[in-house]
Amino acid sequence: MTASNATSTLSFDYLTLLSVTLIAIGLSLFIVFQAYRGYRHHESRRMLFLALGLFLLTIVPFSLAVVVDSLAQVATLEPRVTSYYLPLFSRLSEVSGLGCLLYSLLIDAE
Amino acid sequence: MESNCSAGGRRNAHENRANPRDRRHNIHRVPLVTVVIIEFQSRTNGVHTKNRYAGLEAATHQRYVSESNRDDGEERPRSDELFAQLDDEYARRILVETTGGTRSAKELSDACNASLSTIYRRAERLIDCGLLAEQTIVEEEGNHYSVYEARLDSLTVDLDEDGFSVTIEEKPTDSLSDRLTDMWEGL
Repeated sequence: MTASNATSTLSFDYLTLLSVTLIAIGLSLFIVFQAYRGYRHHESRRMLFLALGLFLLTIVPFSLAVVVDSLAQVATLEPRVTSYYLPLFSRLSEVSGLGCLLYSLLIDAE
Repeated sequence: MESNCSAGGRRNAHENRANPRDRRHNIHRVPLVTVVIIEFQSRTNGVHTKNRYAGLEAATHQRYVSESNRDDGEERPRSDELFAQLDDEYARRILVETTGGTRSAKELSDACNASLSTIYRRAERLIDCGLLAEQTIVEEEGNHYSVYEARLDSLTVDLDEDGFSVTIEEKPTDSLSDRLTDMWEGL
């Protein structure tokens, strides 16, 4: 009884987390797409790196989290995956994203 | 980058040449206290264009004040250049044709019954005045060409003791990505 209760709570948590993350990914995609369009229309390198930076800063970590969470639903993962690898790669992606944003700000607008 | 990135304040050498169409002296014969409003009808919706604005400043209103009765010819005030542009039949025609959406030089050439080089020359001057926006379209094969769109909604000429001042009211930038680009590049 308690076991099935725990499972349903778990999957409810998972679904909530999944839907919120998907909303975040959708919004990020929209903004990244606008930046990318700005790059295409104006051939602006700054906009390219803005788009890339936002992509690495938002979509990549969000997607990693979703993938790892989904995997955890169907298979048992090592605790180290969620406690170490997921944060590590998310952080690395965010660091490179911030690097792209910084680069975008520093290069001359063409 | 190429020509579509012309800065608003760019002054080309050819701009300073003596302009036979400059009717500065006629302007002063206009009855005093005259307000001329030239309205270009604009479509508020459905204009799906990506403007390359000549300047990065996103000001909706720009005001160019001419220096009255100055004939030193050193630096032509921008409003005089604007008057000269509006006196030009082809330049006006280009603005009319491009106010509803973008047109390529070829289309403008057909519509205005003018040669391509005439169109390019007029377009360049209109861009320098901030009346026209140019955008480069890149095709799949790597060719690219320019399309033009009028930037102004209306243009107001006011007269006071300091001379004529021209206010250009620009079209709102319609595309989100353009506004984002302007904002980010303006940082």
